[in-house]
Amino acid sequence: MSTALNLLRLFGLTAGALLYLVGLGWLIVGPLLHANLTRRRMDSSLIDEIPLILLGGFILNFGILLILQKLNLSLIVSGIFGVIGLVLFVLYLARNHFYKVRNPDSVNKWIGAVFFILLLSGPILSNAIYDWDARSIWFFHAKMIYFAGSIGLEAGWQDPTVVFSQLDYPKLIPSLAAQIMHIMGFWNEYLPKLSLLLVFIPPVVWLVTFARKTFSYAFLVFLLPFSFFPWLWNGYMDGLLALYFCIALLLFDRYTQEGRLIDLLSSLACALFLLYIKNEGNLALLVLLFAFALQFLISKWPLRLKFKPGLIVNWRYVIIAIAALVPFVIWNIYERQWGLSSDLGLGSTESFQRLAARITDGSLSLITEKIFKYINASLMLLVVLLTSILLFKRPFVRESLPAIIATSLYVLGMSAIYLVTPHDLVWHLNNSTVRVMELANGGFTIASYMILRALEHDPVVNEPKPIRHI
Amino acid sequence: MSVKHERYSKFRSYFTPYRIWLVVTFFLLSGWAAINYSHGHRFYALFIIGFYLVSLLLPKPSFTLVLVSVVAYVFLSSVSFSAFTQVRKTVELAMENPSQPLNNLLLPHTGLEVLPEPVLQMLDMINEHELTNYRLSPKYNENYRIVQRIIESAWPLRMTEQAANVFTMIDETGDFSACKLIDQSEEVALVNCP
Repeated sequence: MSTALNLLRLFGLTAGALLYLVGLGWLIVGPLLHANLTRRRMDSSLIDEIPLILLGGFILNFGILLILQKLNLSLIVSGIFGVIGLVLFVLYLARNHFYKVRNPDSVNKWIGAVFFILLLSGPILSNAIYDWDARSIWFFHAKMIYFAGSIGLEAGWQDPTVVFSQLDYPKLIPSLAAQIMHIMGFWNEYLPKLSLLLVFIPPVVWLVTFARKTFSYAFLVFLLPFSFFPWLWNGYMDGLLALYFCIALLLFDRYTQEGRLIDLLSSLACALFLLYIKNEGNLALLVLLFAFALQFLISKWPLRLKFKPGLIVNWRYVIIAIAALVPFVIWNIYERQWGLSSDLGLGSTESFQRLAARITDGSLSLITEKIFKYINASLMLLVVLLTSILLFKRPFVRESLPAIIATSLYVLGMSAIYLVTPHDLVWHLNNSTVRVMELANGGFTIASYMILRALEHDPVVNEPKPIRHI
Repeated sequence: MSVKHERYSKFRSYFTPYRIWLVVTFFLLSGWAAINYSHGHRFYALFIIGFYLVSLLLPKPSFTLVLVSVVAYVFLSSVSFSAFTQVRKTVELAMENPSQPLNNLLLPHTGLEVLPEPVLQMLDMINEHELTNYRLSPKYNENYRIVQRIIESAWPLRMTEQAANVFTMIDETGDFSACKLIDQSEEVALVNCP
């Protein structure tokens, strides 16, 4: 009986958290998609909208907590907003999606998403917070916020004994964990990981929207979440960072193929959300934006602008993008005020001196070797598929270009960070390369998926005429 | 002139751009394989050269070969299978004893068993003696594993340099002869140094 009750409590907590986040997120995503909170203007399905709404919910929830600082007060205010948003969302749902939800294709996708989430909720929730960064950084920050009842200075950010804890790291997921535990009224080493599960839901739902009865899709779902083992469920953020990076690439690719605006907005939202997961997200966001812009220019080349670029700016998108960046800016202001600077000291005179010294002292080959070790497998698969394109005499798969460019730039950027690290280089490489390169592995896997998909759907490849290639 | 022209056209018909690309690719792949081989990734070196040569030897490029290669890669290189094993293990454990994971999730203070033994003993002493401050002995302070684990697990109780309560190793108590022994367990002693 108590097991059933506990199951109900856990289900209630998760469902409540999701409804709260949907309600909050709708207040941002409704205006973003439809310029309205109850009427539908953009032709998008619910399964495409829900993950975007959840992302909006995470960001708004974090923003309100940062502004009000107190857990209690922020939960009350966010709760009021959440209820208002949820009522408006239900109205929107009843008006516009009620009959479409029962569409068999949509139902199958929802079932797939729920199955996937349930499958992965096991390893996330059944293992206590054990690994190093999970205990010393991410969920320790959650614990600090929980016990202080605040994300402000009372949490203990300036305590000299906690300097080891990388206090400048993003606080969205630790805040969410602290809020969950605040609602439950106790702390333990399992339940805070529910925050990981919640943040894991949007990319899984998006992944399911790509479902096709093809080998390439089987390849994608087999590798994309599962190859991030164990970083997706051990309490580190590297798996989530890699997953969001990959989903941003996939959504952008679908936008370039099908031209649906929701895919572009979702892709950019995923890219922006990287800022809130981990510091490496800053680099990941920059490389993604660069790769997207480059792909856009290539696809539109030669550019023929028949209008003034200033006139095509949609101020609604600009305002919402700025609003979504506000929590990131607020946290950065707090960081500076409270002296929580990054231990890497990027941009300082010393960092440039270290860069100059390490370029010549053999450190570069050490870094290259270490990075190569961890990205080699995914790179090899990409090489195999690029070779296949040549063997089949098919043109280069241009869709894979953003993934290849963004991932390569990320690898270069991380190499540059290793060159300037103030830590012992060997120690830093040994402790981080394996996990920060998960994102690179994911990016190369996405490029491989795109090539495989192109080959699979290519009529020349599938119905081969006798091709004499030697 | 015509013989020269004929030789030139034969040369051109043989060295098509496609064949030149194949040769260039072969050299590039050989270089890539050599790098892999020299870094100890011998399987990858053989895999890529094998894939290329088999593709060339086939009468026509085979998509099946590509699929087989991808599947082989997934089987041999991906950690996905370890992930599946972990998922399966979790599901099996949950099915055998569903109350355990739920209790872990919904009861306070669960999951502390992952901490190192000395830290668990320190936590017991903190609770038993209702300590309001603590610090670590110099030997424990050198062990960053113990330092980080006790700081985060004992939080919100904070470690302070001025604390009277000191956790020491058992063989270290001699260094604290001026202090009063409060408690002692297998690996940890708690002394009070006013």
